[in-house]
Amino acid sequence: MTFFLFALFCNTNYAQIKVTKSLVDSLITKLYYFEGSNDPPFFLTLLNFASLESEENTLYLSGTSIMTRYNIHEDMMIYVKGKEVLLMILRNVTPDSSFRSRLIQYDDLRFGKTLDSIKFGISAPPGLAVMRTPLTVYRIRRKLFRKNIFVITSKKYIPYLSAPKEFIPLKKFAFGGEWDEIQGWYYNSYGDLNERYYEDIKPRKKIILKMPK
Amino acid sequence: MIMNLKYDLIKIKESKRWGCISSLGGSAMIKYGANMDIGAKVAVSSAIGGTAEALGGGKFANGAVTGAYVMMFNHLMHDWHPTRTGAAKLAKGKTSATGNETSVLVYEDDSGNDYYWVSPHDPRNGKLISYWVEPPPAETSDLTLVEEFHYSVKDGPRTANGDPTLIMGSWEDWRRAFTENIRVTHHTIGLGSWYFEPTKGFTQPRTIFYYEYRGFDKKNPVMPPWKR
Repeated sequence: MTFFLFALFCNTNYAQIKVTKSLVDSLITKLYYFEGSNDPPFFLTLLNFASLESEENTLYLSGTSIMTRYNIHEDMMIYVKGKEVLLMILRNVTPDSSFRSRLIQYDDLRFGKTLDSIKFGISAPPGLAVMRTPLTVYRIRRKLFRKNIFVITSKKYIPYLSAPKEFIPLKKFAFGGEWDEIQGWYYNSYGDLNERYYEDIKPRKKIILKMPK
Repeated sequence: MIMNLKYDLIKIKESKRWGCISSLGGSAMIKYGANMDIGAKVAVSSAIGGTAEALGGGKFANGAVTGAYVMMFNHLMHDWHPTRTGAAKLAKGKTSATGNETSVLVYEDDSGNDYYWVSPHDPRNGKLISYWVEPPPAETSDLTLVEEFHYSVKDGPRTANGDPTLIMGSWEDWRRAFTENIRVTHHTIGLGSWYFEPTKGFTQPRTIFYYEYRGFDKKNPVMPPWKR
């Protein structure tokens, strides 16, 4: 019995999380806000899936928004979920075959064509600046003894560049950049961190994600 | 002309009741008098005010100027303003109330006097765009467009990732400055201002920001299309 429990524990808790299409779709639906009409899209969402070598049973997910094609690099792939086009980076993460087959690699001809089809980076840029701070990093772990139930917790980083490098989707931007120190609007007139800082750094509520068996 | 009239009239505070009636006359006149210039509109409004004042037993002259005064403020003042501060305040108020951008067109006459036209709402206006609704041509026949400035709210739409966006000056503002050969200024309420000059090639605008947004322009310069 003890051996059985131990085997079950190892199988569920220490096994690396397989990044499947259904898991990715569920995470995107649960954590991000695609509201459809954005024609032509001002921003593309770049999602960064990472797992640490010391913690392979945990998946980390973070995202940012990019406005220019110059911010697209060779390690990025396109994933189309319904009508939404997303960019993805996989760091030390192994996608399963169902998910891998749906990713469009950077050197694939379809990569540029997909961006053209949504007119990304073609129309005149709008007068909008993305505030990437705080950077929200989601930590995805299996629930104890459960293979198909995931517990998602989060941590927010202010400023964006203060997060561990594995979790920063894009460090250098082709145009403009991000702060590497806490922005002025997080300080009060006495030079102390203000309420807005503590409000913005509060993590999101824990999310339970139940996947079909 | 507008400025002198306003300052002459601003001292007159009496006959307000009849002034309101003449203002109704002014409302009707806007419908029929769209092609009149500003002077003609004020003159017609004055006559209506004078008639109303005579009925009330007052002096015609005072009633006339009061009628003109109220008409100026109730109708013309929605669009034309004699001072930059007044026009800016109205445009800023409209933007804060509706969330849409509001433009102010600055015209100059031969004597160097400036007149401020607060562009009425265009149904296509939104958070990120304002269409100029220009004054009737008859009102600007002897005026030259010399400047435009507009106000926007601070918060733009959130990205799918949930990141907030801030509305700032854009390349389109520079392009308007270039094509019209005027200065175009984008004011974002609570954030800062972008001053675009009509330079031959695109250059980053001069900027002024609220203290807490210092460094914003370096991190978020205005993006020209070839950088996309």
